[in-house]
Amino acid sequence: MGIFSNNPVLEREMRGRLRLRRRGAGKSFFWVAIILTAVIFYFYARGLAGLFGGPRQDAREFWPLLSYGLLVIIVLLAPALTATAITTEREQQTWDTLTSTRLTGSEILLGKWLARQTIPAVLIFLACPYLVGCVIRGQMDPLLLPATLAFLVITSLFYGALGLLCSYQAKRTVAATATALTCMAFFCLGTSLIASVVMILNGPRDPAVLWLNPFYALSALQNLLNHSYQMEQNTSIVWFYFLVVPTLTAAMLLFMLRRYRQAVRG
Amino acid sequence: MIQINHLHKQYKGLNAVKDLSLTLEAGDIFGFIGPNGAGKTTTIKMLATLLKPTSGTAFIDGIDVIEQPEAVRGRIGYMPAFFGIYDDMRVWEYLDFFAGAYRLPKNNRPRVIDDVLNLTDLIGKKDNYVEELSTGMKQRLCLAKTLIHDPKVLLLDEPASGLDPRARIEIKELFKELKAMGKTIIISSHILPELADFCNKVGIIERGEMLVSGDVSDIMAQVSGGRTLEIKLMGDDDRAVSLLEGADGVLAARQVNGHLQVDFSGDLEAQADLNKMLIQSGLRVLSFSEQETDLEDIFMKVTKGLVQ
Ligand SMILES: Nc1ncnc2c1ncn2[C@@H]1O[C@H](COP(=O)(O)OP(=O)(O)OP(=O)(O)O)[C@@H](O)[C@H]1O
Ligand SMILES: [Mg+2]
Repeated sequence: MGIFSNNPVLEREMRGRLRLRRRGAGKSFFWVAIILTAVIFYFYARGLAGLFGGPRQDAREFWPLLSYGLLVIIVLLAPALTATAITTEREQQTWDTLTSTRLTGSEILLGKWLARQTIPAVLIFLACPYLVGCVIRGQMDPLLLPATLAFLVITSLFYGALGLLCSYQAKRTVAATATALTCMAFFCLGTSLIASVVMILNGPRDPAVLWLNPFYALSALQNLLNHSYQMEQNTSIVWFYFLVVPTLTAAMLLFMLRRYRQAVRG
Repeated sequence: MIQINHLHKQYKGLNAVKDLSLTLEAGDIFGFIGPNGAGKTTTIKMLATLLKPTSGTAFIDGIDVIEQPEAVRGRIGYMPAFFGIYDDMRVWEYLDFFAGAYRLPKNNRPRVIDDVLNLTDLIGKKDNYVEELSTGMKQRLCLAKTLIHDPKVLLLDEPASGLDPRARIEIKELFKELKAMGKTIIISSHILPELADFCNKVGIIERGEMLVSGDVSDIMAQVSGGRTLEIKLMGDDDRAVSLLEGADGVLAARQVNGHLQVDFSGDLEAQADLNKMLIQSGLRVLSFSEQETDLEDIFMKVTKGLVQ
């Protein structure tokens, strides 16, 4: 027994995420789904072929589109997916039943946290061939690929933990989702707003509050590996992000586990 | 099997449970009775390791509920008063999930699931989605889930609420089966007749205080302060009342629509002598019987004073 193996919470949640249809939908739905998948796959493959066969400049221009696009989807999806995790159990009155079993707090909380990363993980996975294509065809620094993937993963885990924390603390799903998305908006937009106010008052140097902004950090990472300007500052920003964000993630998870143990004494 | 010592729970200024003590032996079926807001759910949740008591201790099967909740959870089956069921699963998947949550070995699960489904009469619904079940079936499914790890102790919070009379009878039959299996059961309710036929112990709680608890028969004696006799005579009721009022063990005698009611504190010998005395005095006795005191009467007597 552990968090990963034989954890019924993880298994149930994963199945719930991946099960596209339950029942009720008849055969026609089944065929529509197959045809749709085939069409999507066709365009997916054609796009990939076009990328590998196309001009170098296209690949270089496609890279930021793809990486920032993924980041946008992740910061929106990851907190929204986890923010419902615990409040829906409370609302459906299944939480007491779940916590009175022999499952531990880490199995329940970490199981839900990881299981709800399935969709972001699938998206990142599907984007991988394109990212590889961009790097190869665009002749970019190969390090860009693992660095960007790692960046996306820690960002997804962080916003997932943020959503879970909101869900754990809130009574209602609506409140949890709203709080999670507000926090996300603070990191992604609020930091930029604060930074622009600070810059108006204090001059042109980027204030440190921006370092928590995932878009700013991603651009620092890519500028660093593209060997463009401000190498020193970009290095610090990247280090900062890769250290602080996982630390905050761990802190949120530990906080929840502690609260869980105090409340339920599991 | 269950031992509760001076359990106390306070919610921000409100004493939900006050100084509650209780001892139950293995195989006891304890009826936990009280009006709304009395503290039944709070007590049961503390035993189910879901709420931390403010003070006091509780042991289940000799294990401290507060210190070793993990170990206690494997020994209890808790059924909340209000519960939801994951409805995106089939009946067997639902039970399989809880079998996993109670760490049952994988190869045992199909057999155990069939067992609890047979016991709760749901075997025909095994492959149905949970949302297709009726309320009564969901109640039974929740009970099946509660039994999946074969717990020694069952904590059932109002398990028959929301059921129609027929389903109530069915679920009562199920409790009798569980009783026969030797489980120790705490079952809460505000409806007394529901518990009367299979509980051997009852406790009446109001405003967090256990007013009385113990064997059903003891409580009956303790609360009613003796028995009530019903005597029917062929005329001469007035003479009988004055005769009875003078007799040993009679607390009061009165005429109630056509028969006499006698509050009596004597033993069976004295009761027989009373009958003999009436006949020897020339009164013609049609019937002489002991009035059934049921839990409902006790409940009304015990709680009356405090409710108003
Ligand atoms: N989470 C809570 N916070 C504050 N007070 C609570 C909480 N839960 C219960 N109470 C209070 O504790 C008291 C006992 O509640 P409890 O739910 O144990 O009663 P009960 O006997 O189960 O009643 P019912 O028959 O209505 O289910 C009530 O006065 C209730 O208002
Ligand atoms: Mg209750």
